[in-house]
Amino acid sequence: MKTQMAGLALALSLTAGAAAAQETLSLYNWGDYINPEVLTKFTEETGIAVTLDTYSSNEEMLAKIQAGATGYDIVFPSVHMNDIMLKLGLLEKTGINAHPDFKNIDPAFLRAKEDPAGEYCLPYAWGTVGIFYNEDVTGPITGWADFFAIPEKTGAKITILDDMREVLAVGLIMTGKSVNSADPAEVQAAADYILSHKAAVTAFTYEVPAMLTSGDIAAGHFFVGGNVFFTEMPNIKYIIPAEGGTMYQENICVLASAPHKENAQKFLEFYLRPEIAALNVAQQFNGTPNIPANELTPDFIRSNPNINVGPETMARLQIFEDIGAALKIYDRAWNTIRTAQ
Amino acid sequence: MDSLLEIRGARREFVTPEGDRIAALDGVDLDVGAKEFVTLLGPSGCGKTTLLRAISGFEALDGGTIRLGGADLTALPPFRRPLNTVFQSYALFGHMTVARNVGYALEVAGVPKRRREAEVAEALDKVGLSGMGARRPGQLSGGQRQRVALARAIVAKPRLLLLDEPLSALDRNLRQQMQIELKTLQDRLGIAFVFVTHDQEEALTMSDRIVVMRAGRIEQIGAPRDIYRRPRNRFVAEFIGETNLFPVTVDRVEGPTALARTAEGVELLLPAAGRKPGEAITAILRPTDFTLADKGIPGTVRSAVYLGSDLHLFVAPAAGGPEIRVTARDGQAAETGAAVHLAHDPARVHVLEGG
Amino acid sequence: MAIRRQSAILGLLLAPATLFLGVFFLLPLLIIALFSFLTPGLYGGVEWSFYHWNYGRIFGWADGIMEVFEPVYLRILWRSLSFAALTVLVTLLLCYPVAFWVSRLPERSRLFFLFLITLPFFSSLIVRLYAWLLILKPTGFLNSALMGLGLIAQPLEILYTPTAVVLGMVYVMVPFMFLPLYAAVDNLDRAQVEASMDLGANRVQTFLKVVLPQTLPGIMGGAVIVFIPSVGNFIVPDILGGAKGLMIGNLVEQQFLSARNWPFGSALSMVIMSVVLTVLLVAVTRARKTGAGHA
Repeated sequence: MKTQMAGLALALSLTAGAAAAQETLSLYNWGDYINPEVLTKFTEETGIAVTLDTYSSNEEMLAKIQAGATGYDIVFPSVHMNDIMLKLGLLEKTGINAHPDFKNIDPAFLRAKEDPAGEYCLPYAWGTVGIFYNEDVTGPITGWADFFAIPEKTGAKITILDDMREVLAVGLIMTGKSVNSADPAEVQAAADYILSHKAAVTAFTYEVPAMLTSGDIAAGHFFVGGNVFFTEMPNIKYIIPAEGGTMYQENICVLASAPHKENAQKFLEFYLRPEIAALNVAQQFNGTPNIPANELTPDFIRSNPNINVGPETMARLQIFEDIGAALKIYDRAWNTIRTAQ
Repeated sequence: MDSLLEIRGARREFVTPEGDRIAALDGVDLDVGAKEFVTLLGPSGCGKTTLLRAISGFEALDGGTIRLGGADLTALPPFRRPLNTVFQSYALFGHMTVARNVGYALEVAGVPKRRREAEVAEALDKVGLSGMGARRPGQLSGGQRQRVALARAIVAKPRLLLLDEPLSALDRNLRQQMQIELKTLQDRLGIAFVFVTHDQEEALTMSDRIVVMRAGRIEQIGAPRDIYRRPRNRFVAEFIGETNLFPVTVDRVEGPTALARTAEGVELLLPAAGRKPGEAITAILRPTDFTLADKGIPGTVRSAVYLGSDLHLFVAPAAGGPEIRVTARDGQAAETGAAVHLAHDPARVHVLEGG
Repeated sequence: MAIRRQSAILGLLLAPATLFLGVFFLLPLLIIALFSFLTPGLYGGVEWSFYHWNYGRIFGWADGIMEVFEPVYLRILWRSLSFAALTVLVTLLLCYPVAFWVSRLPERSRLFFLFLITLPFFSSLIVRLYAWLLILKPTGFLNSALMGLGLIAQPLEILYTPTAVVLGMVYVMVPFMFLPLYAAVDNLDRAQVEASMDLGANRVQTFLKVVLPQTLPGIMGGAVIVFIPSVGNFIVPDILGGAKGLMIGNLVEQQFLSARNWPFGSALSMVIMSVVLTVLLVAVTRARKTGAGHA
């Protein structure tokens, strides 16, 4: 409700600046996952007013679309959700891969199994999930084993994400399994790993940037985008764990139920331009599949190996896939983790 | 004198929301005998309720003492005072049965159930509510609730019962019946009652003595007849019963009778004892002190109010001045507009010194 | 003929109320009840075939292959009920004396206090809970103040503990407990309190025998109003509890927002609703019994 109101307010303010005969475009995106300047620029160039609603999980977005929410044109699903939505027939074929600028996109990012050529969605951005830590307190750390040892070693606190698959992924990585395992025994082993460290974990939370800044925690499991908060704090470091980490990638997809398909198409084409993708990265601190855009991003981002990762780091990263009915195994494991005393 | 309740120099001040100090009790002395029915009477704000609440302990005194049977109560909380109260609103406990209401004082005192039940039955019997113990207060009529409140207050056999305008919520017939019952009950119990009312008729009916209060002070204490026939001042005279007040000047003294005249020229006869010509006094005559006769004060009937056995007349004196209230017997010819003469017995005139 | 027309008019007059109840209360409830007996869709939503394992998973008759019975759900329910009961108890102990204090204030201060009590309703719950996070965290206002005063040497560990959850729940629920309690206390017949003391009951006896029974309807009302939302609350355990102790509300939320299992979430909701309804019925029956004598 609140985000809808915010979206409405944004719509009104953008409307006021745009032409009288009003064209609009309605985005449904993760919170804080697009640089507002990108939207302003789009409106300036095309005269299309943009409204923005936000969600905080793929499932929340899916549930809302499935429940019949209409009026949205564009959504930003993660790759596995992109696949699910294609299977459910919720997405519109855009033919964006036929656009001349599509050559900017690194084909390695055409990860959706149901859309291998990019006929539907445009790869939007990607990032990693790793560890932020306050080096003054923890000393240098290299991965998950060091991370979970921090409380015992220093008495400081650590947090991990309040996210079922991210948390179990840590357990699966540490037991040497795929983060997309559908084997109940493997998932159980992963849960056991997390459970054996639950006492060391202060909370399952997304409040990492604020708590790390104030010194309430010494390290936290968080998204690479968190770097935006620590540009002035050299003691706060971000690493992709040596044992391995997860990566995420979202695609820009047009809904089959979109009321403004032409405007949505214009937005996809707009985002193919390297300077637009780079503008987004400058504020979001994440990776872009747009090859020329990488040359236009600010220095401190381009030169940070934990943000702009090389091939050997890339090899340590796994991405979530749709695991279908096996989700139930994860749900049970997650409940066990969260109820354990 | 052998009194049960002794109040000496009771003082209590209140501060109004405007910041003014008001003396609710301004040095009150009062004695109540062991089997006496004493009524505190006065207009609202006179301090009668404050005095009652000071006796029961719900109002602390700024000064003075209250003793009961020789024991000083002044500093005791209400639950330590061996006296009970019948509240104006009855204050029955809605969530308890009648029997538990009545037995409450015994229950909190730890009286065993067996004895409690017997005493509750006895108290209910005294107020005429035998067999009603299982009901709830909400199922009773106003008069029945009144009796429950009474039974509850006497069950612990207090030596002094306080009653705070207990009859004011009842209709007129029931009220008159209860007045008699209360008086009878008090005689039977042989304990003292201190009764608060603003209804002077009630006070006259039941009391052994009446305490007339005004502005935190006692104006007069006396038997009902005393208060009625010989009010000490104008306030008491006007507050108790219907009154005709005549500011008069003594004209002359003839044997046992003196003649006095109002400024307008209405002439009255009064006892000569102690009267001197030329002095200004107030003569008090009750409406029943006048009779319609062939001679006397000439006047015209302005209005006649029929009250059953009596006829209430308002007579304008021919000489002028305020109308005179007269009670005439029904059947006497006194329609509105009739010319009449008002005669009176000089001995029944009560004199207040001063104009 | 006339009767039929009358009933038609009556029906028309009642239509808005029926429609209101139907649309906003009955219909959602029926949908939840229906979904709880359907097969979960692979990607959320439901498949239209009968499925009883949703309840089996909770109560113990799961097939052990697709659905697994785990006592953890009943444990979570029990835990949620205990926390809700504790919340009721703490809010009651907190609000009861305050209600008496407020009812004795002069009218203007009283109105101001009632305004203060309802003030939180004007801002978002999430924002207010984040404010508590700032107060309770190790470097937060509370610990800074206590350490500044030299009362403690080490920061108190409150945030992300069950204590913080109870504290947060109490904070959220205080107005709901206070208002019915205040109404009961304000309605208390002072004359009955005086009558009790006049009849020899000391303050403790008067409280137990007169004040408590008379304010019992308010206590019951407040308890019910606090208990029901407390059972299903999932925001407080998430933000202040660090999501470490799963509550039944979190479990339901999770079924819709990450496990994509709508029917199981619906079944859990139905179980919560039945438990709460039972508690409510017991409370109302008891309150009616004790309150029967009030004129």
